[in-house]
Amino acid sequence: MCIRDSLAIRVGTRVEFPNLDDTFHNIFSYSPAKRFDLGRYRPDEKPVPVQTFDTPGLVTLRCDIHEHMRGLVLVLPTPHFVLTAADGRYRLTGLPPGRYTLKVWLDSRTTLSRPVDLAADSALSVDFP
Amino acid sequence: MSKPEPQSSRSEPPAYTPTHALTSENPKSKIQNRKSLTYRTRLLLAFMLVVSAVTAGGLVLAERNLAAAFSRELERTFAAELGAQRRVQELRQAALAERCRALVRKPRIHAALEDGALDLLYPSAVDELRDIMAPTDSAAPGGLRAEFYRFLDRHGAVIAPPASFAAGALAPVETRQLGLPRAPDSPQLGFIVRAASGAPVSEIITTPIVSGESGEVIAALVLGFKPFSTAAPDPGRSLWLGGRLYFGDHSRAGDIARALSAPPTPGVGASLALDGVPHLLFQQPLNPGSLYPPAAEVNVYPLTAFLDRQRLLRWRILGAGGLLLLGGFAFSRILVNRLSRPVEKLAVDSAAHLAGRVRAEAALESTHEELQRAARFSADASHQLKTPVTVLRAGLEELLAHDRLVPAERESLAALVHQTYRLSGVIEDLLLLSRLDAGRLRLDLVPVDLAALIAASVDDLSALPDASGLTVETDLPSTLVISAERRFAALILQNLLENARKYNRPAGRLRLAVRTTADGVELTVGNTGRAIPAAAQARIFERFHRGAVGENVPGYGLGLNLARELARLHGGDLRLVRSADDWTEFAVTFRPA
Repeated sequence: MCIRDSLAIRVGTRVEFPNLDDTFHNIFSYSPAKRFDLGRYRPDEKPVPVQTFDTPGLVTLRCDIHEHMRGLVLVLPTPHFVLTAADGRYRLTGLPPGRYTLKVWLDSRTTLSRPVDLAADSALSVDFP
Repeated sequence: MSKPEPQSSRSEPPAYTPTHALTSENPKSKIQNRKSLTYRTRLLLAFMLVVSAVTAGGLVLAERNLAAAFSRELERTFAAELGAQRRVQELRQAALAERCRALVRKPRIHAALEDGALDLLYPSAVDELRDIMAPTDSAAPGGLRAEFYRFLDRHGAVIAPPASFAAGALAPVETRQLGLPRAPDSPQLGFIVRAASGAPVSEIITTPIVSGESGEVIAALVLGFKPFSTAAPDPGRSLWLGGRLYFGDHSRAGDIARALSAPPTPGVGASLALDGVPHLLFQQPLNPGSLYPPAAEVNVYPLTAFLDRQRLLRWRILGAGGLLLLGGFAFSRILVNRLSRPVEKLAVDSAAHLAGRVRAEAALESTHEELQRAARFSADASHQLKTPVTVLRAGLEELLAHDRLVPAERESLAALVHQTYRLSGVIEDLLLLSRLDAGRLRLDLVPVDLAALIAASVDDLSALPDASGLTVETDLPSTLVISAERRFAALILQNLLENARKYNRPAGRLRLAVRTTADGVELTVGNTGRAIPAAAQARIFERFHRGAVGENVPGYGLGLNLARELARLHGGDLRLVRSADDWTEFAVTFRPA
C-alpha cells in the first residue's frame, strides 16, 4: 500500500484504505479533524477498512509500523476544489456565479486565500505568488 | 724464735715487688695496645663507613625504584580500572541512546506532537515505552530499564502527563530538574536528585524529537534510569552531583566531597586519609558538555593492600640491606685483621725501639748530668784550692828566706815549696780536665810548627837535672806545621816527654820521630825502661792511674789522660804503640795545618 501524498475530499466522504502491499500496515490519525486507528491489517483482509471524514480540516495519516509513511487528507466543506498539476497550474470548473473565497493550501502551515467575484459564463485567472 | 706475725709482715715486700713491676710495665704495653687498636679500629671504621655508604646508596636506589614501581603499578591499575569503567559506561550510554533514538521515531509520538494531539502523547507513549519501562513491582537490576519518562516541548518545558498516569512518579522538585532552556539538538545526559526513597539519583537521557515534516526539533523525550547497578553496592563507588556525593559510603561522603574538585575533572585525584587509612580518589565526569548540571563518578580506593605490599617489600629490602651490611662488616673485619697484622707488628716493634731509645736517652741524660756535676765539682774544687796553695807557697818561701834556719830545716822547707808547685800543677791539670769534661774548652787553632815545638821541649827536658844521663834521639823534618793551639800542643808534648824521662832507666835512651801519615801528622815518643805490664796497658789512660812500676816515681796519674783528651780535642789521638822488651813507645797524631 502506498499512502498517497495528498488527498482532497468533501466533508462526509467515505474513504477506503486498501492495503496494496505484501506487509502489514496500521493506518492511524491523531488529527483533530478525524481520529481513527485502523489497526493492523493484511492486504487480503476483507472488508477493506473504511473511514468517513465528517469534519473539515487536515487529517495526517501515519502508519504505526512504518514510521516514514505519511499521508494527508484535506477534508473540505465545499465541493469546489481541484489538485494542481506538479507545476502549480490548476483549473477549477463548474462553479455558479457569485462571491467566493479562493484558498490555496500549500502545506499544513500555509494556506493562501483571496476573495473572487465570479460572473456567469466567465473565467477568472488567479495567480498566487 | 720466729714468730708468725713478723713473718707475715716480712712477706709483704716480696709481694709488693711484682706489683711494682706490673705497674711500671703496664703503661707501655697499654700505649702500644692503644696505638695498634686505634689503627685497627680506624681502618675498620673506614671500611664500615664505606660498606655503610654503599649499602645506604643501594637501599636509597632500591627504595626509589620500589616507589617508582609502585607508583607505576598504581597508575596502571587505576588506568585499567578507569578504562574498564569508562568502556562499560560508554556501552551502556550507547545502548540507551540507541533505544531512545528508536523511541523518538515512533509514529504515534510524532503524530501526537505534530498533529495537535498532545492529549494522546502520554497514552501513546505508554504502549511505545512499555518495553523500556521497568515493571513497578520489580527491583530488577537493570541499567537499561527506565524508571520514568517525560516529554519536553520545543521550549524545553516539561509536558505534564495526565494525572495518575503511569509515566513514572516524579515529585515537582524532581520534575523541575528535567527541564532545559530549550529542546536540545542532540541527546543530553543528566542526573537528577531524587526526593523519594529508592535510588538517590536518577540518570536521564533527553533525546530530541525531530519533525519528519520540517526537520526542526519539536520536542524531546526524557527517560530516567537508575544511574548504575545498585544491586551490588560498592562502598568505594559514588556519584558526585552538585557538590554532594550519592551512593557509596555515606559516612565518608563529606570528607571525599571536600577533597574533590568542582566541576569534576577526569583522572586520579588527591590521596585522602579516611579513618587514618590512605585512600586514592579518582573521578570520571559522566556527562561532559551536557546541558544538565555536571556529574561525576567518584571511586575511592583504599591503598591498604598497596601499602601493605609496599611495606612488606620495603622490609624485605631493608632486611636484605641489613644482611648485606652485616656481611660487609664481617668481611671488613677479616680484611682489617689481615691488613693490620703487619702494621701492628711494625707498631709494636717501633714502640719497643722507641722504649729502648727513651731508656738509653734517659741513661745518657743522667750520665751527662753526673758528668757535668763532677766536672763542675772539679772546677770548683780546683778554683777553691788554687788560692790556699798560693798563700801556702808564699808563706813557705817567706820562712825559707829567714837566715836563722838550720840546713835541715831549709831542706824540708824547700821540699814543701816543691810540693806546692806539684799541687799547683795537679790543680791546673784538674781545672783543664774539668773544662774539657764540661765541654767548655774552646780551641783557638792556629798553624803551629811542630818541629820547633819539639826542639823547644827537648831543650827544656835537657835542662832538668835528672835528665843528664839520657840520650835523646830525634828524627824530625826541618819544618812541619800542624793545626793546634800552641800551649795545648806543648802540654801534650811536655807530658809525653816527662813520662819518657820519668819511667826511663838510668843512662837510657829517648827517641822522638815525626812522620806524615794518611791520618795526619804522627809523632812517636819512645823510651827505654821497664815495660808497662800487659794487664795495666789498657788502663794507663784512666785518670789517676799510675803504673805499678813507678811507685817511687813522681807524678799524679793525670798526664796521659789529659794529653789524650787534648789530642782528641785537636782532632787527633794518643795511643800506646808498644811497651815491651825495654822499650815503651807512644804515638800522638795531629791534623796538618
